[in-house]
Amino acid sequence: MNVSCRQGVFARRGSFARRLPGPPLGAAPPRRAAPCGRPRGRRRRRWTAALAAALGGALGAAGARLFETGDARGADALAEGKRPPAEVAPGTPAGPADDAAIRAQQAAVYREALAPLAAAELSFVSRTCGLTAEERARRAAALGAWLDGFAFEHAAAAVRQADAGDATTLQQAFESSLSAELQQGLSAEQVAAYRRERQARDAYRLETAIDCYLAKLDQHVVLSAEQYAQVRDELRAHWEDVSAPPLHAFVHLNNVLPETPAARVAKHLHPEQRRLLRGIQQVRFQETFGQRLQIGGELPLIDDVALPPTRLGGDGAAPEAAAAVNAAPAPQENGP
Amino acid sequence: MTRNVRPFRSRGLLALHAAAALLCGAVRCGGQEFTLTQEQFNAWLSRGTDSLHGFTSAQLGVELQMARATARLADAQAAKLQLAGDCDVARFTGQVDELQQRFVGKSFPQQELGEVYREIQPLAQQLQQGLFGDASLYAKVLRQTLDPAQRQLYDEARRGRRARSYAAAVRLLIAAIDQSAPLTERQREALLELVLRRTRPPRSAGTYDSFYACTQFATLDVQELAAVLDAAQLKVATKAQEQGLGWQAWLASMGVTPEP
Repeated sequence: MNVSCRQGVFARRGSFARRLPGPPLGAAPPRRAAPCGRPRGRRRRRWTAALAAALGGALGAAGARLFETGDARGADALAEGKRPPAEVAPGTPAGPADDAAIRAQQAAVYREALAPLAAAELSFVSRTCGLTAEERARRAAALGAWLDGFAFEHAAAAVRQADAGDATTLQQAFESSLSAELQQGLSAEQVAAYRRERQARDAYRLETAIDCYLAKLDQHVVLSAEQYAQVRDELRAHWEDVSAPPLHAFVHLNNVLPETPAARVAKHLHPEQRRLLRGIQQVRFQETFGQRLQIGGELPLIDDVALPPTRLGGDGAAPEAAAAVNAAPAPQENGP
Repeated sequence: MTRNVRPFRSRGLLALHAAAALLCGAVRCGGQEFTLTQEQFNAWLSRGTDSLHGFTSAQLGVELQMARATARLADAQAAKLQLAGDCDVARFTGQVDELQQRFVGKSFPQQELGEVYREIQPLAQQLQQGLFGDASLYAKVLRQTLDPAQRQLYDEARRGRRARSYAAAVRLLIAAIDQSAPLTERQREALLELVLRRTRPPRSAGTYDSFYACTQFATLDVQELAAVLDAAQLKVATKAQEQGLGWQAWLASMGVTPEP
C-alpha cells in the first residue's frame, strides 16, 4: 500500500506553506481545508485584504516594477519607496497595486526562509575555497542582494508549489541559481574546488539515503550480506529511477519504508522476503524545501557568515552585525 | 540547556487511520454507534496487506533462512527452531483472538473508537517489528540449540547487520550536522570515522536508531571533535551533543542501550 506524504499531513511547523502570507497571486482561492482542519481560504483572503490595504500604497508601485524586472534593482526601488503612497479606501477591490504589495510581503517572508540555506552555502564555499574575510564580506553582500531578487521573483510560485505539496522544481531552481551566484568572482581553482566538494557532498547524501533505506529494509526482511550488497548496487545504479527519498524520511520511520519501485528491490529477495515487503506500508516522502535536516531538535545555523538584511522590508540582522561576522578571520579547517 | 523532544506522531497517525476507516466505510455506522468489522480489525492489525498467518509464516521463514545460511543448521536444529517459532506465532495469535472477541462485531460510540484502535496498536507494532526478537521463545531455543561454533557464526552475522544499520544512522546524523555547519569532504569522513571508532552500535537495531546515534555522539570528548572541526562548526556539534544527552534516559527506558 502506498501513501503519499505531502506537506500538510506530515509537515513540520514553519514550512513555507504556513508562513507565506496570502494566496498565490492570480490563483483561485483555495477551497480545501488546511491540513490542520482550519478553513484556510477565508482566513487568507481576509489577511490579504488587510495587508493590501496597509501596504498597497507604499509598496505597490515599486513592487510592481520590481516584479517586472525581477532582480535586485527592483528591490532597491522598493526599499527606497520612490513612489508616494496611494490612497486605499476601505473595501476597495484588490487591484494590481495590492497584488504587488502582497507579492512584496510574500517575498520578504520567503527571503527570510531562504536566508539560512544561502548563508550555509556561503559558509561552505568559504571553507572549500579558502575565502579571506574580505572576500567573504563581499560575497555576503552580493548574495544578500541576489537573494532579494530571487525571493521576489519566486515567492508567488513558492506559495503555489507549497500548496500543491511539491517544492522540488523550486528547490532545484534555487540550488542551481545559488550555486551559479556563489561561483561568480571565484578563481578557476576555487570554482573547481567548490564543484569537487559539492559533488562529494551530494555523493555522501546519496550513499546515506541508500544505507538508511537498506537498514530499514533489513529490519523488516532480514537481508543476507549478499542481498545487502546486491540491493545497494541496484539502488546506486538506478537511483534516478527510484525517486530518491529525502533524508528526513529516515529520521522518524517506524513501521513504514520510503517508496522505491518494488521491482528494483524485490528481484533480489526470496519469496518470503517479498511477501513481507508487500506487507510493509510504503510512503512517498517529498522534499521539505527550506528546512534543514533535524533529528528531534533543530540545530543552530553556523554563525561564521551573515547575510546583510533584506531590502524587501522583512526582518534582518543589522548591517553592522553582519559586517562584523563576515570580517572575522576565515575558518581554519582542522585535520583528523 | 537540553530539550527532550520525543519523536512520536501517534496522534496524527491515529487520526489518519480513524479517518481513513470512516471514509472507506469499513466501519458500519448505526446512529452514533460504530460496529467494528473483521475487515477493519485486520486492516488495523496488519495494515490490510496480508493475512495474519501468511505474514507471520513469512517472518518465521526469513529468520530460519538467516539461521540456516549463517550457522549451517542441521535438519533437527531447523525443526526445533520451526517449532519454537510456531509457539511464538501461536502465542501472538492467541492475543489477537482475545482482542477480536472483545471488539469485532461490537458497537462503540464514536468517541471510543480511538481507544479501540489504541488497544490494537501494540499488537500491530509487535507484528511489524517481528515476533522473533530477543525475548521470544525462538531466540531462546536458538541460543540453546546452536553449538559454540554455530553461535559464533550467527552472532557475527547479527553484529554485522547491527553495525551496518548503526553506520547508516551515524551517516544521517553527520548529514544533519553538515546542513547546519557545512563540512568539507575530509571533515565529513574524519567525523564519520571518529564516531564509528569511538562509539558502539545498539543491542538491536530499530525505530530509534537515529536518536541512538545522537546519544552516542554525545559521549565523544569535545577535544576529539575539535581535532576535526573548526570553532564555528564545533558550536553546532556541541549543540547536537546536548540534544543527544537529553535523549539518553528516554532511550534507556525504551531498552535501547549499547551492545556489550
